[in-house]
Amino acid sequence: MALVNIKINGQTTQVEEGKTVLEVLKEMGIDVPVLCYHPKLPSIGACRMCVVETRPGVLQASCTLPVSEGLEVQTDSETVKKARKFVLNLIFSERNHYCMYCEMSSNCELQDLGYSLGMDHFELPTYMTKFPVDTTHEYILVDHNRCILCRRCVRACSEIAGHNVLGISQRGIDSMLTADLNVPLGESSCVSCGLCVQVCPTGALTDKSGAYLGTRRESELVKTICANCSVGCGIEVYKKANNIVQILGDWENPVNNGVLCKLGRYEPLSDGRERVTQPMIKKNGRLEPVKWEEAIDRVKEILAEGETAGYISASLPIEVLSKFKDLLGDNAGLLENTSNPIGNSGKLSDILSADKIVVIGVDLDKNFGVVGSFVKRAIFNDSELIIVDDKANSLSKFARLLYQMKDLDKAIGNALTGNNPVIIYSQTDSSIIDSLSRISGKAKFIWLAPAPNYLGAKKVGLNGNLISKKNIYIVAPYIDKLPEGINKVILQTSYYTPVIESADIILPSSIWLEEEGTYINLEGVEQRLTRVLTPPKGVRSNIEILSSLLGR
Amino acid sequence: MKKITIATDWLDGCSGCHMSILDMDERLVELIKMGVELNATPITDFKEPTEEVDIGILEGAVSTDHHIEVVKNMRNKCKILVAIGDCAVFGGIVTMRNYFPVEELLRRGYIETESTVDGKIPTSPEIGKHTKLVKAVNQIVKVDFYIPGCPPRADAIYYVLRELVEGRKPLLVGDLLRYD
Repeated sequence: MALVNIKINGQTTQVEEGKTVLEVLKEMGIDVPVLCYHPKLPSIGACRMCVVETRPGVLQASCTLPVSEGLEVQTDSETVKKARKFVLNLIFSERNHYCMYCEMSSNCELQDLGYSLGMDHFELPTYMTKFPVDTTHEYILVDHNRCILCRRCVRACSEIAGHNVLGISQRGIDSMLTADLNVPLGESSCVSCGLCVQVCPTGALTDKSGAYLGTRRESELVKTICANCSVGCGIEVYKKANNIVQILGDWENPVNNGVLCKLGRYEPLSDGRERVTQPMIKKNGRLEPVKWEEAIDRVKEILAEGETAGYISASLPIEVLSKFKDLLGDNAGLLENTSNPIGNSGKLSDILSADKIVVIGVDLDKNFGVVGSFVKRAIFNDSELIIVDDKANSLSKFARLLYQMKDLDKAIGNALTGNNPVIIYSQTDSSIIDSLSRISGKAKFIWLAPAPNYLGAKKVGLNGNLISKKNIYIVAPYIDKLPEGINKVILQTSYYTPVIESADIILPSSIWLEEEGTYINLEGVEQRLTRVLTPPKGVRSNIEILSSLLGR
Repeated sequence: MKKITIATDWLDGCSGCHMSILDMDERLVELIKMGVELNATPITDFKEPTEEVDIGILEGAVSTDHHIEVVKNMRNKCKILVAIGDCAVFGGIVTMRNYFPVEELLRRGYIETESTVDGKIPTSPEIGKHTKLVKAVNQIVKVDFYIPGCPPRADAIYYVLRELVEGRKPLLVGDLLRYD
């Protein structure tokens, strides 16, 4: 990279061409106030907080100003200081920015700037217009009174998440954040990925589910991964008193780069399902609460007979899966009964460089939101989307071509006319596998594995083969179906469902947010799940239960 | 020892800022030992400054014609005017009523409240008449120093008074400058 000479506050320095002045100043540790700028978003120079003086009296936004040979910059002159304070006053005067009744007070970048620039009163009268508050969305609250029109949310929604829901309507003082063609957010094409909330610098976009639970700054931050599906996104969980306050996407995680879907960001906060919190044994036809020791002893007795087939869900960490295999040996199997001889030959990032993308039989917006994000971003970079599905598909409106399942080979044929085709699929029906096998090596396959740690389970040597035995021992956080005609059913589970009534022994286990261990995502990336919450009283971790059954 | 006289008053506020003044606790005594004398406050016998004072302190937003009088009177009677709390400084929570016409505000408050039976809007001349818009004190008269906060920390009030008593210009930074 070529170097250019620039002068910062009188000091000559060599910097790389292609950088912006703001980037250079940040690297040099020079403090520049910013509002619309976000390191992960393209800069637009909307707010003018980051202005610097390039010639006496000439102010330019440093976030969009590229460095160039001979450029002179003043970052702390009286003109700059005055301009920044004036801009701040303008922003505060434009809508309602009274902190004392704002949920985001003490968690707000506008407030931070007020403090750091020493703003102790308003120099301009406030614009007393009441703006609407949009409460229609299930998870996101839009308070236009708090909006500073920085457009971070708009850029995040379009350029990072790829959903293109948010925009700005009108101009000047009438500018308004808008969803689709000016419909309430709850009725818009929003897929609830929540990235807009993550980047909002004020209280304009907030999470409903975390309201009044506490602010991020007074919470403890745990970096972990989401174990809701096989994508394995990096998440940042803010917790206070064993409660989740907010979940943000981890910008540094290479799998998702900050983007999340509804499941990862909001499901853990709105999970209202009833938990099983005490071990139970069926006595006289009814499940009766018992002590852990009694339940463990009873399970040991049954296992000792050697007549028990074990099934574990591949949603659990490798350590748990492997302990289960230690306990049951060849009698251990996977609940997710799938076999896939083709598997995966691509990374999610390959989607972004693909010129043709085929999505077979899966609605990405509904089930693999982050993969949907990758696909939508690729489409806006001119990739062609081909959807093969017999059902309605949320991504159909973005597709260049739509095929029925019976025409799968035609769709694949079309994809192969591209230079970098990527094929995304989840089902493993023989018809799909056969078609894909024939083109092996000619396209990258991304298989959306059916469980968060499916590849981890394979590594441990667990298979979905059906094992027939007298008794059955199932380890899964959630069970909605039990096989019939079994002598004794041992159930190690987290959530109460009506079907657990027909089990003989219940061992209450922790959910993924209370677990820790290793996961392998659909790309084959090994990641660490860190424990976020302490399980409720009476509940034990899967590893603890399996260890006591192994007598260790 | 030179006497430094202070008068305080409240406008459309919740008295929380005056609670913060009291929260200075033993530091109030310290200030008094330094020569501070409270001339008039809402909680002393004299409600209005009886003479010209050195420092005038106002809490609350300007919401009625009476408040305008109080503000102007305080400005005339004091050398240094300090606005304390978000309402006096910015307009604060009281400005929420700027979103509604005064008639609607009074109707909702005195007649339509859920627990009210046969409510009536008071008309006594002793009660101030609402202005169309709630304003911050500096929209009516010149203010010399501001202590925002809802309420401002006792530490911030003490710091400002101490600086003024000792003849310096206070500048709120760090934890002393808060809007909530």
